[in-house]
Amino acid sequence: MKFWYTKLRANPHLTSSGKPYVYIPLVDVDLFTSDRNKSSLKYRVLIDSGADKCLFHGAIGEMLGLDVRSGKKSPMRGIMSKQGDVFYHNVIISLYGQEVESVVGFSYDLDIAFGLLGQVGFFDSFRVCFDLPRRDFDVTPKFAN
Amino acid sequence: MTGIDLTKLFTRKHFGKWVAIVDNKKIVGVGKHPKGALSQAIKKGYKNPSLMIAAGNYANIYP
Repeated sequence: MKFWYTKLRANPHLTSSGKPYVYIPLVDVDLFTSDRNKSSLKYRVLIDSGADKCLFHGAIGEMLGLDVRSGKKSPMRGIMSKQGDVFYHNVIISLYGQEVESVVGFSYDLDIAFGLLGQVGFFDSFRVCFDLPRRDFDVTPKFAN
Repeated sequence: MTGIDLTKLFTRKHFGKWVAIVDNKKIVGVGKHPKGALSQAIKKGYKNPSLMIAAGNYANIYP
């Protein structure tokens, strides 16, 4: 599956190119809880090879019907401006029909605009090839449904 | 086509809020919580928009 990078507004003083925009590899994923009886929703997320795990905003977990704070709790630093808490739950992530069940961290302390698809829960099920000069990237499931 | 361009989609009134978008062209809901953005979208007849947070600067997305 080929996807386009997303061009987003940026402060030119903060971009490496000095231009007022950046290109970011974003995709829409459909999220479900494992029992599929609760809500599903479409969430725009960043494919982030530097993230250990998948991490979504706590409000997204609430909308899926999860009791977010009842999940296994863990402290997390690195992508937050201060130390925050992450709560883990099983979620089904569907990328254009290719589904994987993943353990996803939900946090109310997430300081970035997107959810993150990281190594465990995404890169272990999908092969990704980025091509920034062409402004596209390929995502291939390792195990077809 | 050379990518999806959202540089002109969000304006100052959207910054820091959750937005529901369709076809990468239209904002159909806005709210402080994604639930608010989604309910606005549903009222307008869009059942499955994509949810994200609008910002004026996506450089250095990590704090």
